[in-house]
Amino acid sequence: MLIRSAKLSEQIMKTAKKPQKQPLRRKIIDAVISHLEREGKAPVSVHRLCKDLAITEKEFYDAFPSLASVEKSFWEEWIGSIISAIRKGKEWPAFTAKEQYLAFLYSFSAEAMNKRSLLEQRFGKLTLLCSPSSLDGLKRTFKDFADETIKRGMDNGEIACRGPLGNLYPEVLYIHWRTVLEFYLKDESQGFERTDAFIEKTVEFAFDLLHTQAVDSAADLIRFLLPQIARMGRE
Amino acid sequence: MAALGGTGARVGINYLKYYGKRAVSGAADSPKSQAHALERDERNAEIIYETFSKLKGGPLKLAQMLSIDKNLLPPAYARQFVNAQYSVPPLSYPLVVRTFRRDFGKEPLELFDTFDREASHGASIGQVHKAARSGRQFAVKVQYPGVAESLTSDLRIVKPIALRILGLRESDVEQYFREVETRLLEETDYTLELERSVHLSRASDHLPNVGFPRYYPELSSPHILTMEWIDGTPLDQFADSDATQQERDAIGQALWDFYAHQVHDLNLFHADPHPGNFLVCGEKLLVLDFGCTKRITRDFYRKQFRFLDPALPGSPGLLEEALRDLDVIIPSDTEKEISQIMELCSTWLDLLALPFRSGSFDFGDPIFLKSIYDLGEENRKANNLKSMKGQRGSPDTIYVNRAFFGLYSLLGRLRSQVTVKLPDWLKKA
Repeated sequence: MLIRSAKLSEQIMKTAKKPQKQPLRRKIIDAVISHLEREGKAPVSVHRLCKDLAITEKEFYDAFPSLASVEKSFWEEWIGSIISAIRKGKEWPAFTAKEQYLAFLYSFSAEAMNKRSLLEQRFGKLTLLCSPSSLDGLKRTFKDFADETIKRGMDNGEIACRGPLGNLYPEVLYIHWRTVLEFYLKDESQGFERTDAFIEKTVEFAFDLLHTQAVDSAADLIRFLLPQIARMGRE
Repeated sequence: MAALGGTGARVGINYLKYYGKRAVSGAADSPKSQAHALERDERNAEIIYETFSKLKGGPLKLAQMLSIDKNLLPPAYARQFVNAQYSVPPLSYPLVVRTFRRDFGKEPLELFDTFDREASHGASIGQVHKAARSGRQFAVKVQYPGVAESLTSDLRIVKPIALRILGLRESDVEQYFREVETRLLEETDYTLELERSVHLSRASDHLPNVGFPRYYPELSSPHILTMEWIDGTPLDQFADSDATQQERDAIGQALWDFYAHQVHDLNLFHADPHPGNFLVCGEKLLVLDFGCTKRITRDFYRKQFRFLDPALPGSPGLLEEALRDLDVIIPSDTEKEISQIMELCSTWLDLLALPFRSGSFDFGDPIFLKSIYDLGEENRKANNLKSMKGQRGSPDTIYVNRAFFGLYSLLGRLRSQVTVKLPDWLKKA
């Protein structure tokens, strides 16, 4: 045990400059996720997990407050790595808000092919309205990204500013992402090409709505007609 | 080609016209006022085109097929459908990148020095981007994802509508639909398109005044097709320009020779002769798109082009034999039906084979195309033809017809005078 952790820290010194906590975190995440993938469920307890990993429970709890939070971190980091990878793209700075969001979704749909069975197992049976706590961290990271994209869109005129309504946009994009996920999990086309087409068409539509004043004029019209409709209802 | 009588004609010409008129306004045949009808046509055409271009894929292809001949459609429809050949909602650049990563594991800029983020023009099931590498310019065609699958489902939707519009029985035309579906699906297969492009351009390279872009297999994949970028004037722009008669004749001749070589010598031909697929560069005609090609067997070729035999029009016996060979006349036909078919086919034959009879033919004569149009119109109204049952003619006829209709109409538009030779096996010693 001692020898092993000595070896481990030796490796850490060689490979990473980061504090020792980082690789242990990674190791725990990897173990929990591969357990999920293999067994279709989480390890029965922290105790059992620590036994399997040959670490102490203290070491585990130094890194995570609970077993559930391990999965939460996994998804958060997964989406985070997708976002940081697309940000490194040569053409990223030149992209419009729509292109940035599309680039994210296509990167997501490509990466999702490596995690399809896990995604199916964890989220395949969810309805859109149900929000599992395992996605909390992912949602936070996603909304930070969406926020930034929407600001960019408002700055360059791609997205119409609608005052306080605008604060809802990141939430709207998040729900959109969930529909993409749901579509992908049900998609049985060759290479999941239909998911890509779904992304293209829905984003095109969404940004059309965000861009034009159609929503505003519709709201205005309804407000105008409302008293009349109410009156007609009474008669 | 002369087997355009019988079902071939119904699915060929009448298809275009039924669609154009009946589809939207059943009353188009007896308009109270000409002006009103025109206006209505215009509006309807616009609506149809909008719907088509939104649906992309299958319906857009259909719109393109309908637009091959402006002369065979009421002008208003034609104008809207022609738009379909050039403008489609573009693929976003991130989707182009995604497609590159999918097929090459690399982004466009890892394969090219420059790559235009905006498409330079649309293709029916994709779009073309301009790119460059080491001083060479490329046209990179990128396909919409999932297009093959959505095509199949689009056709499933379109089919019952089309049947009703055309007034046809499903059992009579099943094999025709299958043929159209097969060709359309082939168009989504860029691997096959590359193979055919390379093959056909090599096999036709010796023809005077006909040229082809170079293809790059190493930069092509199932969803991406890369060829040399060529500058030139689109064929319809050339036709509408103030080009001299000599220039028109040269380009028209090149077009004719290209089709004659493909059909008679290769038995494999470019079956999509709409103006968007050709460029004119100086004296040369450049052929761009081999998405829709059709291979026919030697046996079918012989049966089909036997109708060009100069002895045929004067001999009812030979004509009947040729029609039976192609199953245009079927064994269950009554004497009366046979004579109706014979009459119809010899009228068609006289008209469509006309360019082959004279050695040199002036497609600029507006009467010629108008007669084809009028005859189609007449057949459409003839009830006795509609009541004929059974599958008639070979489904292979559809694309032979389409190629020749397209060719005739392009030549009509070009107003070219063309030298026409019969294939050797039909020349009488």
